[in-house]
Amino acid sequence: MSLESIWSSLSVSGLAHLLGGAVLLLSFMLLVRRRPMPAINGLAAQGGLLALVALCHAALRDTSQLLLVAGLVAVGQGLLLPLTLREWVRRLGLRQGISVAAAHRPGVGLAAGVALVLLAVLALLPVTSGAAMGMREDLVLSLSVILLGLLVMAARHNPLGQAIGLAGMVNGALLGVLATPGLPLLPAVVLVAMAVPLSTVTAFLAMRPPAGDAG
Amino acid sequence: MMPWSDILASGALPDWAVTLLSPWALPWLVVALPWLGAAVLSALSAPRVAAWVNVGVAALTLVAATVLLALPAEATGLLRAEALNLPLLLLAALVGLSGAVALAVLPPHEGTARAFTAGYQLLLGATHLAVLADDFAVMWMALVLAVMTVAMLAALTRGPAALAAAWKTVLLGGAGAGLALLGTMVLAMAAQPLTGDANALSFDAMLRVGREAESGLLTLGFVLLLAGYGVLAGLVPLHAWLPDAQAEAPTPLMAIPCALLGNAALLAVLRAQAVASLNPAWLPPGVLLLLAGLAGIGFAAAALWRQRQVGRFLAVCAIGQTGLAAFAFGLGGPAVMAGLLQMMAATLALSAAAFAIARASALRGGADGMHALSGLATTDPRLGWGLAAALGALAGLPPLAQFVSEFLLVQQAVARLPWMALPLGIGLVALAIATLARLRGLCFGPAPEGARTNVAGAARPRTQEGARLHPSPDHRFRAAEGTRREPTLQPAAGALSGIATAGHAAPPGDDAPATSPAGLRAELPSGLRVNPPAQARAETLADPQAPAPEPTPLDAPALPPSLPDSARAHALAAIRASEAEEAVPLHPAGGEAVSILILLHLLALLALGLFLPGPLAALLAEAAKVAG
Repeated sequence: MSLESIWSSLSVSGLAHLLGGAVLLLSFMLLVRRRPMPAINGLAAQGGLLALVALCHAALRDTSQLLLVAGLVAVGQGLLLPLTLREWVRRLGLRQGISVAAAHRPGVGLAAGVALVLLAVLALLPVTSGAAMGMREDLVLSLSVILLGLLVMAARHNPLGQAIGLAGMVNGALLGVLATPGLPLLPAVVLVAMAVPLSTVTAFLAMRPPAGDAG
Repeated sequence: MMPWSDILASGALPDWAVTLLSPWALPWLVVALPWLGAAVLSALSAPRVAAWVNVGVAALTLVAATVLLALPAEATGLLRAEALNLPLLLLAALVGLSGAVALAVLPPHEGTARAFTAGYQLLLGATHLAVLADDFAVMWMALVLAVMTVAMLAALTRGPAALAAAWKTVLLGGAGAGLALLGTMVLAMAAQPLTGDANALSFDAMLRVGREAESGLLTLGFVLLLAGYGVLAGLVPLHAWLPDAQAEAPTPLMAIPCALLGNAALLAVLRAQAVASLNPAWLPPGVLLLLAGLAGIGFAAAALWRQRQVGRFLAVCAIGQTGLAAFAFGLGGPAVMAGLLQMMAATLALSAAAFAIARASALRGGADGMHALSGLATTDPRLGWGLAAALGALAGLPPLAQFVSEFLLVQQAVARLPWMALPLGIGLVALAIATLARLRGLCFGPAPEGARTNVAGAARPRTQEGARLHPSPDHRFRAAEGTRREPTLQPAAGALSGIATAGHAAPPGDDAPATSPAGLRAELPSGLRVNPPAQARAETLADPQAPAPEPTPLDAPALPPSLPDSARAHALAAIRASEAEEAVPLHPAGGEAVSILILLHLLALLALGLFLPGPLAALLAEAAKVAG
């Protein structure tokens, strides 16, 4: 392998990790944002970043399957889900209304989030000490985003905030899926994973009574 | 017996049948049949036809699942029938069929039957797929579909409490699905360098290479899968959605979909454990399952005493049984056989109990409180004794299958982990005592007042007994989303306005229509269906000799004080009728059909307990070899 190809692969994998870090950062944003619209925009940005991560992995592994997956993620997590959540907000009239964050002191939420990320790092250090060294960053990022999503779900007391947490958690799981090499069923898995928050939100919109009671 | 390939090659079968029966296509048939059935059922609007289509599809699925037994074991593909999943698949198809028969004679509440039967078949297909899948990714997709379907079934009545329960199910199930997906990916990362790309997630391939795989990754994958699928299986710290989903579902028969989902999820955990224990790292995988199992047994033994709603009661019973199976899987070795037997027996007994409770609830006008259903053996002996036998099986009474599995479990625990045998024994005894105590109240306790007349067809509004006693714990959900919808009150309010004007328009002193039931019925607004229980209530109300029923909390706010007496009587009748509208008329052959179903389940339990059928015993022993 020539030096040039090693350099290019290094930079692309570094870019994938950088983008994964940005996804993690956006999860922190979901944790502290009080109003629904910025949180939904954060989710959309996460979806877009995930699509970029998929593109990076497509360049690294040279598979056309990942290009398809990147398109799916961009449409599903980057577009459809935020649009559905916006519709929810519009129907409830929440735009200037209630907050989606429960913690009035964002510092507490941030501290809890940092503690969870540290937990993920510490839990994965012994596990990935051997041959799995190369997967450490991907796993840490994925597990951190999942744990932050769970924290968002646990900290929010209304369905909209909990749905945002669920979507953030699924983004973390998708980060792990994209980092796994050589999955034959990758597009199907990604589709089902994206269907979890989307079907939840649409079913909720369809089944709740139509009255605009913002509660 | 002829080898399968010889049968296919003999030329006796047409080409399409050969394709359909080939070893790679036949497992898909078991999945595709229920899904086709679900598609047809969601389009069928005639309830009788839909009920029989439901039964027919379930019967065909059972036939296809039975044919799987004859398949050669070396078949490969995404789906694979093997010793570990065949007993559970056959059981799921069998219980699916008897559940479909029960749904035909005990339909859920008005308006939900069509969606419920379609969702039921969808869930059967998903759980069959999850049980049959050899690939961990396919298994994950099937389980996600199954838990979403269960949430949909729980939401069908669309009341605030039902929506809250479904939301809880979706959130916890979604969180579990996310963790399980990461766990699946970690397993793939561990196995992929050894198995190659094509079957990185095949259970079979992982079992072969597990010894050389990275131990840390295997253990991490198992822990994540346990946390994820533990939610769906109802393992104890993660079980919170299960009682709510069963309590708010439109029928007590919801226990069957929940039990099938739990079995499929627990099988997934067992498979992950089998892979992870090939090369354990700092933590033997069985320990976590042992702890979760003990917690489940303890939780059920303590919580069974407090349950006042039958759906919750059945859910807590199921959690205890799942705990026993998880403990057995944690022990490993031959105890896996006890665990599989435990899962099968628990599903059979739980579904028999659900049939009895659904029938009893229909007999008593849709009541779902434990107190309102007590004393079944005095009012309906066949039903009461059948329920007693099913709950006795859950408690582990001797001739039935649970006794054998629990005996085997205790024996294994004493032999392998003596210090764990003591808490297991205490938990088993406490669980049996709690189950038997509730059995005594439910079957042989005093029947509530008026239960006799209720048997004859009068209604007891569902809202008084169960739902009112147990408002949803998640008040925040309602407060936040404003789903304060009382479906029972809306038609009543419409009736109220219509009847109030009728009462005012009537000449003073002309009370004859008010005291005649026929007049009452004639004046009810046409949108309001009056079924026999509602009629009986209306007649009780109009009969001056009959004792006046207790005013419900619903009456007071609904009636303006300025109403004249005759209009008030009309309005009360209308409210009662609309409350009773949820109750479904009893099926004429329902009693016999339910008794036969319960009897068949009990016979199966007896057969499993007294003499384990030979082929099944061989399958279970082989499964224990694979997974232990």
